[in-house]
Amino acid sequence: MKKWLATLATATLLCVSLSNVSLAQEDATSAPGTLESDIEDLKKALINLNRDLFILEQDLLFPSSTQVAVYLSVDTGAYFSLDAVELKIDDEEVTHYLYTDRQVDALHRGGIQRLFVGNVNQGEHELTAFFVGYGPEGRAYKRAVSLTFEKTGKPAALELKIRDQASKQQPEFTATVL
Amino acid sequence: MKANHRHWCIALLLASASASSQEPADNTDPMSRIHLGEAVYALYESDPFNALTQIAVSQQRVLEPEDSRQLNLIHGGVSLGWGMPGDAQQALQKVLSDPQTDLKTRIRARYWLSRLYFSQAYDGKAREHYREIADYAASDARGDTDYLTESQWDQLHYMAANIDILAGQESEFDDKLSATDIETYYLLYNRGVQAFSGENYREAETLFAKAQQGLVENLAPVDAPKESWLSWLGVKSDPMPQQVDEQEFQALLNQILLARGQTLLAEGKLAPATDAFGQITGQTLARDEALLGYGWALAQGDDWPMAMGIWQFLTKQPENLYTLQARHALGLGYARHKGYQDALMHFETLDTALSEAVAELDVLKSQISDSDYWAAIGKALSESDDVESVPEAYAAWPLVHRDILKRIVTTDAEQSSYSLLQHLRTLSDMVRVLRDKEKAVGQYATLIKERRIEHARRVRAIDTASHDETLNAITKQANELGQRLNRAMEMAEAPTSDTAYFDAIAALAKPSQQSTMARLNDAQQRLDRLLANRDLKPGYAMRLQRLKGIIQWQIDDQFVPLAWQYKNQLASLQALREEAAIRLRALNDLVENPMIFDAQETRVQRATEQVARRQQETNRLINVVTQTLIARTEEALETRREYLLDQQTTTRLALLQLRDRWQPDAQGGE
Repeated sequence: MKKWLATLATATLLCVSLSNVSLAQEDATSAPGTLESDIEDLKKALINLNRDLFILEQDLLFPSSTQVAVYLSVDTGAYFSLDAVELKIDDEEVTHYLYTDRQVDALHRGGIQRLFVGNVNQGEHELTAFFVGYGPEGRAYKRAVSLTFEKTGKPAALELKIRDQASKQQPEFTATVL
Repeated sequence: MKANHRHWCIALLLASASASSQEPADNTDPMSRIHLGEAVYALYESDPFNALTQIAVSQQRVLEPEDSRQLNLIHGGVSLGWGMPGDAQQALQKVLSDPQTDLKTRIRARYWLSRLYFSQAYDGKAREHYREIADYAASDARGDTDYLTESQWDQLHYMAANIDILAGQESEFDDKLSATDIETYYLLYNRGVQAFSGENYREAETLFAKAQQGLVENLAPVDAPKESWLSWLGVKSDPMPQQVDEQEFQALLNQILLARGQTLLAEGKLAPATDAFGQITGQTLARDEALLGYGWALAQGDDWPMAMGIWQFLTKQPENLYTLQARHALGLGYARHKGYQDALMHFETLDTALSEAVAELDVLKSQISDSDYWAAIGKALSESDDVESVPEAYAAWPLVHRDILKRIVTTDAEQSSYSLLQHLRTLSDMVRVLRDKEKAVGQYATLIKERRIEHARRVRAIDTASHDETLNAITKQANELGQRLNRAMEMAEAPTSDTAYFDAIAALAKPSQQSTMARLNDAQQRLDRLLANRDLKPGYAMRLQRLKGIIQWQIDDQFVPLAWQYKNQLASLQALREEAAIRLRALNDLVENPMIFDAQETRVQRATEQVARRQQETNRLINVVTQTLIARTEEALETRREYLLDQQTTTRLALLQLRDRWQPDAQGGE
């Protein structure tokens, strides 16, 4: 029994120290040619492959000459709790995005979401975004923001931003061309 | 330090990343901030694979140096969380070796490095980075520590304290953890285990009791949704400091109770030991093993009644290896005390149970020798969101051999295949991803093929020559208009006479004015003709002059604004013509170049080959992992089989001896 407990002692210490770790790195070394290093290499290769495919997909589906991307960011956002964003380009709805708590959290932590990517003809266009959620004191809140932009041969990038206006204790919504 | 960061709002690993993504400095490329922000979004919103992909995509873009450093920091943290220590180390060292990296970013990089080294048991290196962080925190007079989250600080202190405990030293770091940190109880437990190993049972018991009491009193288990890899990153914080995941809470409590029970047994305190064991939920194997051993210890000390009481208790529990052994021990106990009938009954029951156990083992062995069995486990693990979930293949494992399964799937056993199963899970994830990618690449190939056909069709339909002619005609027309306008403006600027001036400005007269002027000219000619033949009243000539004056005044009044307006319109027409010319040139290029899809097709082809290569590599690794798992498990099952057969032989021998010694009919009963 003592032997068993001695084993328990060593093993458990390691086990507990890694209790929250989903890593499977039990070996101190991960020398080339080991299973660990082979799997890490494969993971790396897979990430690069996924990256290349992502870029290829973008190039194929959204060529620069017609590409328009709309990003959404949140700066503090204490006066507005985001529920959904509806996006229209030239009066035509292109996306209606409902947010999960996790996504809202990601935005609050400094993440920027690519809300929409699509194709438009070159020339002048109008973007309208409707923000739906809860404003100060938990009241239902819906605001819109519009922006006219010129699509040229280069990819167009637009940013929607939700920020706080501390002086008015109200949220502020902006749209800009990047 | 703890008190200082207790009241923080959610402090982030990437506080500076978010700050930099929200407040761009002037003259910086706004897209750099967007690329970093996209990676941050993926970090919190996606799984590690997609987050790392987004990071890799962002790294391909042009980034400001500061954004690039933050991206490397995130890269390091996420790579570490996804079991890529080599990649993580590279990314984090890059952050540290950049002389422009600010101090707080360095601290964060050191945090990840210390975790990396700790997870790989490089205690010295882990401690070195921890020391740097602790020294910096101690030297900061403002007590500003928000560059790490509360959870990250806890993990750091826990790690440092644990290194000390492993080295058998007193730790100064465990004091930095508070009663509402679960790490405090892991440390107490670890210290207890350490004391037990040194046969210092009293101290061990005190530590286990303290851990049990503190855990139950200060922490509240909640059924929180699992977010394993983010929790590991330490960037998620619990809504309340005392709330901990129910599963983790119960697992730790069980472990403490088990260790406490064993310590109490070692001290000979059976009643409190069984009380401790009795509180364990869902972890009976270890308890049964401990009780069985204790029973034998009592028997060796000649306390047979107590020993048999324990074995009796065990035989009433759900069947496992230890309950079978307890039945054997019980049979021996009865035989020793001349309870031959009971002894016979127990040995016979045991013989049957052993035969069943061997039969089940044989079935199990044939199951686990099949690669598909492990493929199903890998698939089940891969498809489950919960890292602790139990695949169906585990649940079908015979109860009596569950102890082997436990040794295989958990980290705390000598025969553990935990890391192999995790690899199997990761590789199964990859198989899934690659299958999706294969499908996507196939779709891209079809897309390009369709585009090529459509392109050819459109090229046939396009008549670029007529567009050239139209554009030339428009250009010619615009040039003529421009010349007319310039001529009128030049003449109006320096007229030789009033008539010449009016002729010049008349070029911009509106159609209605031009028709009025034509009528007035006709009237003038008619008046001149009439005056040549007879006298007319001077009033006619005066009236005509007045009307001419009015129309000339109107034309003169509008001349300058109209000239300006026409000039502007001609200028914008010029811009539009230039743009049209560019588009026409692009269209001509497109029409004249049927190879435009070749480059895209080459990329897709290359991607197809890469997917196939990765699939091959994944399958090779799955095979390596599976074969190792099969070999290890077969070995464990074979050992068990031999043990069971030995046990059965012993049992049957005992049965024979008993039957020889005891003949109920001859002796007239027991």
